[in-house]
Amino acid sequence: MVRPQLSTVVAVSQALAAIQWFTLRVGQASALFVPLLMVTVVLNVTLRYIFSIGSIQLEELQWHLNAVAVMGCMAWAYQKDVHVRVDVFRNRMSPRVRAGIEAVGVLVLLLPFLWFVTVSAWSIFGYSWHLKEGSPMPSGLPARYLIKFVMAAGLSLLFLQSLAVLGRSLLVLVSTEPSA
Amino acid sequence: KIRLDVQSAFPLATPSAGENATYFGDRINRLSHGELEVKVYGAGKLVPSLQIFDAVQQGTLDAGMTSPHYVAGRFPAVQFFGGAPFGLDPVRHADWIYNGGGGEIWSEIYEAQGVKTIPCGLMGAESGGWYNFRIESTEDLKGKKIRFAGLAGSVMAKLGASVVLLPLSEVYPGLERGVIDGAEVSMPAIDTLFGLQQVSQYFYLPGWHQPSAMNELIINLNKWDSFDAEQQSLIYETCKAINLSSIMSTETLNAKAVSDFEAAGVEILPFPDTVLNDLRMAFDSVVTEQASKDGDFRRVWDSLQAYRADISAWSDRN
Amino acid sequence: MDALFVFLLFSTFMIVMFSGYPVAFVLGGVAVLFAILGTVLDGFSVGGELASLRMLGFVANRIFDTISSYSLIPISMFVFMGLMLERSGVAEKLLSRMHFLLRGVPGGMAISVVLIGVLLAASTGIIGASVVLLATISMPAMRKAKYSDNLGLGVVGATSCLGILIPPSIMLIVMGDQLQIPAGNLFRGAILPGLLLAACYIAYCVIVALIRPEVAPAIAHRSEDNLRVGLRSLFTSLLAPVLLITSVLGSIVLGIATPTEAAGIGAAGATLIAVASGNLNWRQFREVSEQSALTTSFLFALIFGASCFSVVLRGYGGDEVIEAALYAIPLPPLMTLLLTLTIVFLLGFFLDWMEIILIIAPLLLPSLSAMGHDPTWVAILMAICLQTSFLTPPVGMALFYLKNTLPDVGITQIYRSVIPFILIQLAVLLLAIALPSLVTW
Ligand code: NA
Ligand code: NA
Repeated sequence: MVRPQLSTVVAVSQALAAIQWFTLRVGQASALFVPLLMVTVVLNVTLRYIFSIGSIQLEELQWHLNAVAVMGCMAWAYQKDVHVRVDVFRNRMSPRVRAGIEAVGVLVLLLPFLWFVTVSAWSIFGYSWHLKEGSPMPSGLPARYLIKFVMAAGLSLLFLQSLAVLGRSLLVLVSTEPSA
Repeated sequence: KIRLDVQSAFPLATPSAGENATYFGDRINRLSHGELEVKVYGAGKLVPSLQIFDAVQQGTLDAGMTSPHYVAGRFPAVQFFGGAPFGLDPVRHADWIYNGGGGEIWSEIYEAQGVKTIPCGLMGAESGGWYNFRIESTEDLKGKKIRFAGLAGSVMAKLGASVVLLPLSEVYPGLERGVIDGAEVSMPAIDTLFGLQQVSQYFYLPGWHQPSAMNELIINLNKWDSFDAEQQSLIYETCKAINLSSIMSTETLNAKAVSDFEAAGVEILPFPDTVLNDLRMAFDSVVTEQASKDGDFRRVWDSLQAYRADISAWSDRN
Repeated sequence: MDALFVFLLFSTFMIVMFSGYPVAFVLGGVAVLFAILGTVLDGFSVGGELASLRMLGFVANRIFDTISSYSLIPISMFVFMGLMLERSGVAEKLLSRMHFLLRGVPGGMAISVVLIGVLLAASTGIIGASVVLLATISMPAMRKAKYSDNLGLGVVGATSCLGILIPPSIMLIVMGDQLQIPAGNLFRGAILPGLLLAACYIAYCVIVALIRPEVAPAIAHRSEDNLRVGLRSLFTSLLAPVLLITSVLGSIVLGIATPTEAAGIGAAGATLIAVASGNLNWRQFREVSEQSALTTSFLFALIFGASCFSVVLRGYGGDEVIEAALYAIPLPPLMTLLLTLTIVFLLGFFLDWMEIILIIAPLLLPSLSAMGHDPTWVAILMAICLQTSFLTPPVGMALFYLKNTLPDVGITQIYRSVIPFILIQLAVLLLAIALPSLVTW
């Protein structure tokens, strides 16, 4: 078996670490949008039930905040291995086999899926940006393209993170001996 | 043989709005001598109703049978075609679009986006809404939680109502449990499908917020250009036929629905004139605000006002 | 021909799923592969309905629709509320008090697990947390009291799944969004069947304890135990969660608030309880936020993947195939309903509630409503039926969580321990079929 040069391994590891760091930071920041959403809902309820004031912008803000939390953490969830797996057989697999499956999964399933979806997500954002799209409600929030950007960016970050997972799995494959 | 995938923004069983799509598919398939093959999809089958325009614009979907209201966030001006507060009656609405210059601006706005639009689905007046409080003066609207969409929603908000955005499926339980005090959904024939008469005390008329409406068939412009002149005219004329069948299909149904509401114990009430006046004034100021922000909005509004002036010698006396 | 591709699409998904790659990505990836296949076959002019790559353009539109959906906002709030309540240590305290008080009753400790399980179920909408919580606290206590593992595992496994049926429930929220049924109606419909299930679990524990006292022995109270003090401390620790649950659930079911409003208030209330119990600092607050965001994210990822899968399934004429299959043999409506529920039960062996609700239920429900069945009733019947999917091997989320929490127990023993509870679930399902008013009151 051909061993890759140590310097290559180090360079690749550093690149992977950079991606992981970025995903982590974006995820941690986005997660704070959950309590922010809670505060918004409480504020909205208070205004509506106590002061009889209804605000369409405040209502729309709720799903905007939720969308940031969801899209911002999707890549981080893959990094932390939170996404649901069926691990009936996985539990009995060697780390090498698992790394192999992960690599094939990224290459054959996740990347093709993300490729198609992310490309159209960016074009949806581009179109919305071009039109300076706002809420269909005249008194709603402006700049709906921001949230379309969040969608496209979140998917792209997952794309990036899946490359990191791929790299990590390949490193496991080349740096461990096949089990006898 | 050209295939044309059309998705409706409405469930296919919805009176007029939904049935129009099925009617379109049937006629085109029959009359095009097998040259066009239309496949009609119900609401949400391929793409969510709010995103039909984007999908057609990008060419992932050939065509959509939808309402201009779904793109109000992108092109606020087209709300006037889709039906706006204190608009014209249905025949005049169609006349303004076909012959009064309205349709040309509409086409122009969409064609700049690579989308062909054809007026397809004329609709009559909507219900004035379902309420669990009496509206005797404009004061009564203050602080009430109501579901009202689009320009009408802004008008209501202007008069002090607290406008709630609620998915259609939440309107019934919302009224039932008092989460909202009132709601506008559609015309009586469609409202009755949601069973709103079971959860509301008062039903108000007229439907000031939408006396008439025009739905649309939108087609990706490249797709449209791939049709020959005869096919294009077949599609255009079929939509014209649909406008008549669409407006006719709900008159008896609406009447029957309103009688059912009465039988169910709902009080049918007229909006007091003073309230209608205030609504109209609020609408005028909403329009003025919007027109100062959006050039197309101003153009369409001016066109509508010009048409009104053109017919006033007749319409004011009739 | 169409049926063949629909079958291939499903079976490929199930086989690839067992590789252990994340289910959400398997759904999306397999769908893309089949869209490519359809495009290639179309190039060879293979007839019939075929999906195409062009259809993948719809997926991002659908994803945007999902993240902008009002009906899905309560998910993150209810997850946050559940995690916060867990963090407050209220549940833990409750369970140990209740164990202590009920240990003198035959099967008493198992009963206390069910009772706490119901309370947890009414305050959270996901199952992972409740399995871990109930297992880590109850199993050692029950083992010490000489309960058989079989009974203990079964009770913990089955009870912790109640959270997905008894409102608030993430499953019912997703179901309402997919099937266009108000979440409040589903919540209302699920309450009685959920409580009935819990009552049946308790009855089962009592019967077992009476027939075979050796698997659930009672322990006599020692004289120095002060029952009054025990009861009082139980009452005080019970107060906060009960107040929270009644205010949140009450406001939804009685309709003072929308599900989003109730969920947000619930999340804020749980935060206050955690603060009051002195178990919350900034770090833990961030942990709860992050955990909620991650959980919500993976749920949404599943919706995205399933959405892509559904588009491609539709491209292969899946709707028509399923509908044709339902009407193939002319059965009376009730028989068709039973047949559908049987299919859901069998699919539950291999799939999770998510895949069944996102892909299968939207295909089945319109046909069933067209036959005259009440959609809310059918949806709740499916929800009861899906309780079994957590417990049936090989793919059962509750089983996995149990195994992870208790590494010393064999998975086959876990499989065996839940069988009586699956039978109880099926019995309650039959009862809800026979008595629709249980759901539609
Ligand atoms: Na629950
Ligand atoms: Na299962």
